[in-house]
Amino acid sequence: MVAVVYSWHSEQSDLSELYQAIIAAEQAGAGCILLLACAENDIDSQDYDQLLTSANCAIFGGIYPGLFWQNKLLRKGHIVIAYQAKFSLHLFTDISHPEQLNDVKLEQTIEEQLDCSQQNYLIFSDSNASGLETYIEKLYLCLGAAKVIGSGAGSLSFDARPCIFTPRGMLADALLVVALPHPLSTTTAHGWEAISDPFLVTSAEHHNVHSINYKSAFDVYWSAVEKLTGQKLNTSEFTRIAQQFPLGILSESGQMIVRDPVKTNGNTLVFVGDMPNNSLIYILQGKPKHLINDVKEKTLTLKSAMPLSEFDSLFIVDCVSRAIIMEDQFKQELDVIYNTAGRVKYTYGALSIGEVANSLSGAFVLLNKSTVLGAF
Amino acid sequence: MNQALFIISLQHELSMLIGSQLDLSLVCKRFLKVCNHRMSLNSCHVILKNQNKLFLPNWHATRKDLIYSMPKRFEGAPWTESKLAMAQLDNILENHNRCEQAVISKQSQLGVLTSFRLKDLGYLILHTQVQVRDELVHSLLPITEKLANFCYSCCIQQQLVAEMQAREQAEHKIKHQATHDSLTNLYNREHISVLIQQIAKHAETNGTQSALIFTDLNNFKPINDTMGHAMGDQILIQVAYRLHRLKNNKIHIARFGGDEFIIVVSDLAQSVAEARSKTFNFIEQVQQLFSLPIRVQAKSYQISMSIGFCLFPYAAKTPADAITFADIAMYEAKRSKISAGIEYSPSMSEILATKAANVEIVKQALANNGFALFYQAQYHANKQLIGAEALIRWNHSSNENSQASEIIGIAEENNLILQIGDWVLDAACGHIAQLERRGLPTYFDAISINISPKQLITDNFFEKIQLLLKKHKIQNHHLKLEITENILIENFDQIVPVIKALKSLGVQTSIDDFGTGYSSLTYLKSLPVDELKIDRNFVVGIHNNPESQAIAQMIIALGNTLNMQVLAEGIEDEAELICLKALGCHLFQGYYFAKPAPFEHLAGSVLQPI
Repeated sequence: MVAVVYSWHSEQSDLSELYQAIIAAEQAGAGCILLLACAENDIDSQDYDQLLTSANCAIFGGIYPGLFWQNKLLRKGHIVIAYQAKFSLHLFTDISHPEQLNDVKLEQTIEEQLDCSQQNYLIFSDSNASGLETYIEKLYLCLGAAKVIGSGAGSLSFDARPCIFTPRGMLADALLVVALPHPLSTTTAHGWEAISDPFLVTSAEHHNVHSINYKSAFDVYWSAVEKLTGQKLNTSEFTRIAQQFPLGILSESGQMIVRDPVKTNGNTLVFVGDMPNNSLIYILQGKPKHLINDVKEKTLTLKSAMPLSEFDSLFIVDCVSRAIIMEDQFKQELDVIYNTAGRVKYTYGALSIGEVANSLSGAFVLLNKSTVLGAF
Repeated sequence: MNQALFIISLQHELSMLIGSQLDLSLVCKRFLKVCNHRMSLNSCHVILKNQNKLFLPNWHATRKDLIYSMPKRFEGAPWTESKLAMAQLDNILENHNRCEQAVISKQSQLGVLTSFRLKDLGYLILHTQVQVRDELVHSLLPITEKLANFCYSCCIQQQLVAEMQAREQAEHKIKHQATHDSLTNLYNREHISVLIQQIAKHAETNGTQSALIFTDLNNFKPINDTMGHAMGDQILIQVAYRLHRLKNNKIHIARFGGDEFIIVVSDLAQSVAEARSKTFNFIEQVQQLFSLPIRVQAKSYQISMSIGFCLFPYAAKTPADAITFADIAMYEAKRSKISAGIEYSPSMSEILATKAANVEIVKQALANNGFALFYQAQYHANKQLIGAEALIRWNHSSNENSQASEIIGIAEENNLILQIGDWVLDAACGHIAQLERRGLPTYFDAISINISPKQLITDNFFEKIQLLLKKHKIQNHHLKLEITENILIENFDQIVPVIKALKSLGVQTSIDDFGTGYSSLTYLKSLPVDELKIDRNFVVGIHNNPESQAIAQMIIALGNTLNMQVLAEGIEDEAELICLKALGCHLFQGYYFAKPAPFEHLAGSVLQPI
């Protein structure tokens, strides 16, 4: 168990209060500090830089559209969690730079920087970084089936701004890998269900799908959604409608990995996360009840695998688009997690833009519209 | 229907990967990545029998196989380092090896392992938590067959590439050996000659001057002699390493042989003056390289170089000339101890040619009895002839009765001095024998012979003297060997034992040109020397020179104190004689008394008192 020696949260974006909390955490014997901040806070990045670089112990974390404290959603403010242990932090910067993404070089960089024998990791990444998925894939290649829970930081404006807290300051286009000294137990839920026949991705490059079933990707997707809804849809409402009908990649094990189409570019559909060529994809639908049920079921699975009372922390990484789709019902999801998990000392987390977790086979995958829980 | 689509798309994707490039590592990596992603594998592995001694980057080698895994680690360790994982993989491989089936599946401690045979090259292993469905396994069989064919092609290709590379390396090595010095890895003599030729040709067309710089390490031979050739070689390697720092596309460096290096600086300038100036600047850089000592095996060696150079085509029309001329200039620099380097001038060749001719004459004289010994008598203050100094003369046609200094100068630069020295010793001992037979007066002391440093430090010098004494049956004390003071000081440790040994035989020794070598009393005291000869520089005009008088007085006092005779040489007039007598000197030699004369003249004088 990773012992928590101090915790603090606030719904105000008050910098002096935050400073006091950090000092209190240090005085409580913090080996390192997790700092989560809301994107809505009125604090300059220079002020965060000052705070991060002047601290006596390593501070890590990120800025998110929202935070969770127990079963409460915070749209403004901070969460500070101080751990007794000193975690090993490994920072990768300029992760979208093409030179960094060179296959061989990236493997070398990871193996040089990381102690690959570690088996439990927290990952904080800039959700705007285009190289993120390549890094995730290479981390898995180098680390093997270690346990991970990761969150995409940033804001819903999708601006390229610094959003990862590191001891070097607040950074953009960065990936922070935090090695935990004790076991991490995780589970992943989404609750999305296939409502269409399968389609074959016939031409894709990373986030961009050009053709499905050898036809225009947009035309195939849009006409399928029109057919499913029985309505003629206005393409100007693409973003709103696409949020209701994401696509899912079905793996051989039956696991569905959700992919959000976020915009179009002519015939091309642009997703959050890679869509490999030759993938079998389905149009998905998520009813709030199903989404919440799946979260409950997976929380129970986590609890049955290991009594959660043995952990100090339950870290929630929940996709921001679930909160958008479920609107007021999203609170029920938080209640379900909090109440089902039971006697964990500290439940906290963030609304993320893309989640990182292990697939059923152990591989690291970038998820959309999913909920990942990590107990440590 | 969905499953069929999945299988077809997977087959299609894997099939497209195989053969996309002729790079086994890359294709296997991509193949395993797709397998892992698409089939939700826990891990997958390509294992190739390492019978072909392939080199595949990022693959791990086991005792008999090469293995590439996706992901690379199992429970934090590389697969090959995990005993549990390797035991399970080995187990299924052994099972598969024992049967003929294309694919087998086995429950293991890792989960389910499914092994596909890649012909006789190796295996593809899929690691899952549940059994891979039969239809998927069957759908992969044609793919694995294609993968096996691809692996085979790659192996063959890699062997061919390896053979070609080995051949290329061998050719490169031969080419390198043909052009480079094996010890220092600098260019060798042959290759630098070719380069000089090319540079000279280029210079002809573009009108620029280049420099050929010839360098030779100073005092390297003693290092080789005393510390051994292995140490000498290490120093040469270090010298080459430092010189190599100067190398660029216009500066070529070669080891010419031994401790000689050649540096060619091409396209210096069109004007000779500018090229010359640049060369001197460059030589300064070369010397700067050796400002710090070279360290070999915890010992430091301060290396310096003698450097000569020749501008070409200005001063040399052919590469051979350029090398010869720079070599001549280097010897001039060594002789004159000029560290800034010396440029070749044609007069150097003329001097060299004269020297070469003289050497030839000396050799002829040695062969044809062309030398004669003259003797300059030595007198006591009481006018008794007490000895004589043997002086060599030759009789060659162009310069009859040439002086000893000219002969010695030529001979010293060659080893001819040893042969001449032997001849002088032999001839003088013969003359002593003749004098003894004719009855020498008791006051006659000895015949003095000048000994060169090269003679004195030869290993068998003492034995040579013993043999001569025996051969001519002379009284040992009638032989006196003169050693100049400067040579004595420079080789003190080597010479002292020889003098002591000669003393034990009764052979006398004399320190010639005494007063010029800053001799200290300490060393003089420990030497069993019989005589000090006051240098002629202090004798000339001594009656008018208080400083010379003071020095002579000091030498005389020293002789008296150490019980050594003191002889003044170079007496030319009576005033000098009177002055020296007044200072307490009793033995004399010089034109005032007698000029050097043939042996018969000496013999006549010895037997008839003046």
